[in-house]
Amino acid sequence: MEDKFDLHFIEHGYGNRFQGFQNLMRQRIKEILIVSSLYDLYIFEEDGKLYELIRNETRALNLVHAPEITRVSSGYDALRIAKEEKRFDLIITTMHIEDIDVIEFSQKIKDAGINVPIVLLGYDNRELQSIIHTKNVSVFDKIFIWLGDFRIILAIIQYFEDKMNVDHDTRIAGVQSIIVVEDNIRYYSYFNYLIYLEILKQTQRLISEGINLSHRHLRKRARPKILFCSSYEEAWDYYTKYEENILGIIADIEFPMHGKLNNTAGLQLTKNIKKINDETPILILSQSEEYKSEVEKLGVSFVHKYDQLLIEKLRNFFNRYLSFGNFIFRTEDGIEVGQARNLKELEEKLAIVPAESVKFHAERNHFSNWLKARTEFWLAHQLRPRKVSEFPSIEALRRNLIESLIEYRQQRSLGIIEVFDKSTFDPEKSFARIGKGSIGGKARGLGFVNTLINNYDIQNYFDGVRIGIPAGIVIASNVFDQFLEENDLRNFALECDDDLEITRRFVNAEKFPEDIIADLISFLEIVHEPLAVRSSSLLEDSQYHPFAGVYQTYMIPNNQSYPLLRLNELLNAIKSVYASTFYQNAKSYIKVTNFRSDEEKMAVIVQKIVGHNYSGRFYPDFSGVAKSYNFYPLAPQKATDGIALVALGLGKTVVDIGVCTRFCPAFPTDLIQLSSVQDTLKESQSKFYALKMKVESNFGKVTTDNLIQQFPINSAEEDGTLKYSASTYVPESDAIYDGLSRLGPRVITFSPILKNNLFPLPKILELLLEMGSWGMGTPVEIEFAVNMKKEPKEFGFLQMRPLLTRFDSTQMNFSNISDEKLLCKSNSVLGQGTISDITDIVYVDYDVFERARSREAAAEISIFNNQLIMEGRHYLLIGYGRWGSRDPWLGIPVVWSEISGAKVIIEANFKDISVTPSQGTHFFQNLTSFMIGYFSVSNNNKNEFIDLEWLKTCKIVNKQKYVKHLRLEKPLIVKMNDRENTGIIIKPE
Amino acid sequence: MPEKKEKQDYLQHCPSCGNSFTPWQKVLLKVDRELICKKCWKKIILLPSGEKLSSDTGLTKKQNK
Repeated sequence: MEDKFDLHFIEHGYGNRFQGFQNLMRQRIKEILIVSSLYDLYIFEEDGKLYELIRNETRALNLVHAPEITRVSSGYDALRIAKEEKRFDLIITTMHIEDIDVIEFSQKIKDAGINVPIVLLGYDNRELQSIIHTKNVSVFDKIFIWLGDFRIILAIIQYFEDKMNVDHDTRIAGVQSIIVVEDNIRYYSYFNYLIYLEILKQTQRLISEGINLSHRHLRKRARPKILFCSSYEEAWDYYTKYEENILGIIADIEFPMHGKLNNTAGLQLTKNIKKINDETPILILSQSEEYKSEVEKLGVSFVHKYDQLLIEKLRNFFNRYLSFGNFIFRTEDGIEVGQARNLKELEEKLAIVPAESVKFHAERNHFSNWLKARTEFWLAHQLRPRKVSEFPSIEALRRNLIESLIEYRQQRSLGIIEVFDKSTFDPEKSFARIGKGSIGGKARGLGFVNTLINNYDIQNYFDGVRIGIPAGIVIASNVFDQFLEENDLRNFALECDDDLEITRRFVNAEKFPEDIIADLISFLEIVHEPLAVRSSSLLEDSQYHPFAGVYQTYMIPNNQSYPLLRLNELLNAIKSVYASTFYQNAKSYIKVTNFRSDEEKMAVIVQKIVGHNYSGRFYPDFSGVAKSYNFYPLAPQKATDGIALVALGLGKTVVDIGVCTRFCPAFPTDLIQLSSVQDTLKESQSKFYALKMKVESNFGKVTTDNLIQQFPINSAEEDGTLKYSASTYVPESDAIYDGLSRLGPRVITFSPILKNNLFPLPKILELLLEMGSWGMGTPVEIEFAVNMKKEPKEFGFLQMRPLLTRFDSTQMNFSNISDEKLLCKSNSVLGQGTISDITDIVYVDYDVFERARSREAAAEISIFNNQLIMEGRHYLLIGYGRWGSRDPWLGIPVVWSEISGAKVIIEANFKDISVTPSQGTHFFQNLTSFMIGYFSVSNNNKNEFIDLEWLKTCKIVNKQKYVKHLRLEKPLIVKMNDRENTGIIIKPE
Repeated sequence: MPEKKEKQDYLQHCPSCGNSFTPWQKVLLKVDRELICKKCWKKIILLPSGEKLSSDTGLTKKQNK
């Protein structure tokens, strides 16, 4: 069986990877040409327009597509259209067409080389019989009779689609088939649709729960096929060809055999099939009871064609013999010992039914057949016929079967966000959802990453490392809505401008959906590690406005002895994330997008934090951010080589402040930032963030804010985590040595990893960035964290989002503009194109400003920003140090909402320190997504400058202590070339 | 042994133009069993039986431009 199809091939339907179930039913009837007289069409459309009737029926059956129908009444018109347009997959003709005999018309179609099946749809049975007996009807691929139900069209479609696809689908995936043998046009016209409908309904019911909707749709393509035959030879041909995949046979007792009508052909067929496989389920239909006892003696079922309960009996046959019903455990004597309705119950019952029952079913392929009816092909193959002789004992066989089921269940849930179920949730790997509604952008990104990692077997790609997303749950957005509604918070939150008050009201809100609390309790019973509670909002879906850092993340130790305390802490954190949806920062951010605050819906991710508890400090050995596109590459690096930023401890160091080690994954040993001892000592990380594990909880009080703390790096040395990231500075020799064996101040360089390959971080990032870009179709940014203490080591994939880059083929040349005409020039510019309408400048006065006053400066900038936004004016912002840094000594600690009106930003060096551009922070992410021009001006580069003296000559509109607002009579002209990362700002003339 | 080495080489480089595959391309080829070389635009297909490699014409450079 392994040779016949790739087991992984059929199980996954996502992405480029395979087509999986999408590869089934490849040939479809999409366009039908109906050739009929107006009256015939009138008959078909008695209940309404045929097209609409069929569409409604398609929808009712949850089928994905309905065929398009073109109707003509003239045979010659039909011929012309079929020849010229070449788009039809099926031609249905009635007996009466306007201008030509129906057989002649069909022959002309064939003669014209139009290779499309032609069906004759008769209305009157006598007329049909007359034409069949007097004329050569072999030109028709099939003849049906209209029985007053428009659904015959769907049955005709199904007939041809199954016929076209059976060979491929059986070979590729082992799709099952049911053979129906009936030569009477009236009966098979009737049965065709009846059986098809029943199969469809049964299959839809049986496709496993817990898989998402798209997966379910795909699996419908794997429904059993119905192969209609009209003769013994046709049936025998199908049976011998697809024997292993025949679910069962439904046959009339009388049909042609060896060219003549044979009134016991059905019996003969049954006997011959039973010689090959005694277990094949067979149902014989007949108009008379004459052969009933003979049929039943053969051990097969019999139903009278005119039986009032025909449909019921058909359904029973499907359930009992075609494995559509519950799996009934029996002993060899036929005594029932158990039943299983689904996979989970099958697993449970397998553990307890008598051994002889296990043996009985295993040896007869009953498990496989039952699973195949549910389109569980992979599992059916795993549970294929087993002889006890293959195993040391029946119990070993039983264990093997159960293990296969467990493995399958676990494998299937990987890469899919299933509904949370405590009994199946794996605290090491699972990522499940709670509640209804959207899971938001972040969770969707994580789910997508999970799918890629699992589909492509990346988890264990590197020896000794496990790559994956941390286990967790997503609380879907409807819970947010319900919470707001039940506590009457929405209007208050939209109108309130006091973030503390909003938080207080949210955290103190008494009502929270009870079913969600129950699930959270179950989750906390399984997971006892620290948790990160993060936003995953609807608007975070937007590729162009990633909302980086807008909403809050909370981390909780989740280690209290009393479960209620842990639940309380988690609920407080969730409510706090909900509250952050309405913080001023968020509202300001949303204002400059096309969205509205009341449109935002919040899902929340609750996920295990990657890390280890070191004497009350919980943190990963290192974490960071990596981008597949580097905005400031240094030769020989190219922009598409990407950039990674890594820090000791929690990633907050990178995304909020920007203090980290930067390297290119393709050139991990080229560390320009650390090229000299002085630079290394200046630039390297001196503190790290960790989660405090010892906390006193107070009911009703938010304790989450103070739990993330900074620690000096010598604490990491005590914990034993410095060995992966640090080197040692030896003052006597004024040199930095790899490792910790010498005495001296420790310096974070990550040389053990980047130079000595203690952990394959560059290779992992290279692979994942390429995977992410391939999957998203755009450059990406990822967040990660690593726990070296675990075995295997854990590489936690925390987030992936698209990275906006703009490429413009227009080349900009600045060399012909003299420096005197420029306000600013830089070789570290982000942005592309020309901006020529800025007349306002907000700048931090270089002569007055001190680093110690950066917070005041931030507040003053915010005032000007709000004013200019209200006036509808954007501006040029000039300041010093790293914009957006949380560390006030490294830069002006503005948040995005405080400078959201800026169109261009200049980041110049401090008087006493030069600061490198901060690619890894949320601030930087927003900068690129809002397409803000960005100039970094370094004192150390002769080709970069800013003319501060000229600013002093400009008209001051308003001023605060450290910040001034200037207005020009004519606009500045900003030109940026993002291919070369160069730019200039030209003074007005 | 030589056959195994030959197989190994194929998975690292395009058999048509010798272009080195990136790590992700190697994953795609191994799992999907087919890959279009971004240099010569030929399609590489790994057949299921016997793991033989064959190179098939995909997009031409001209078409791709």
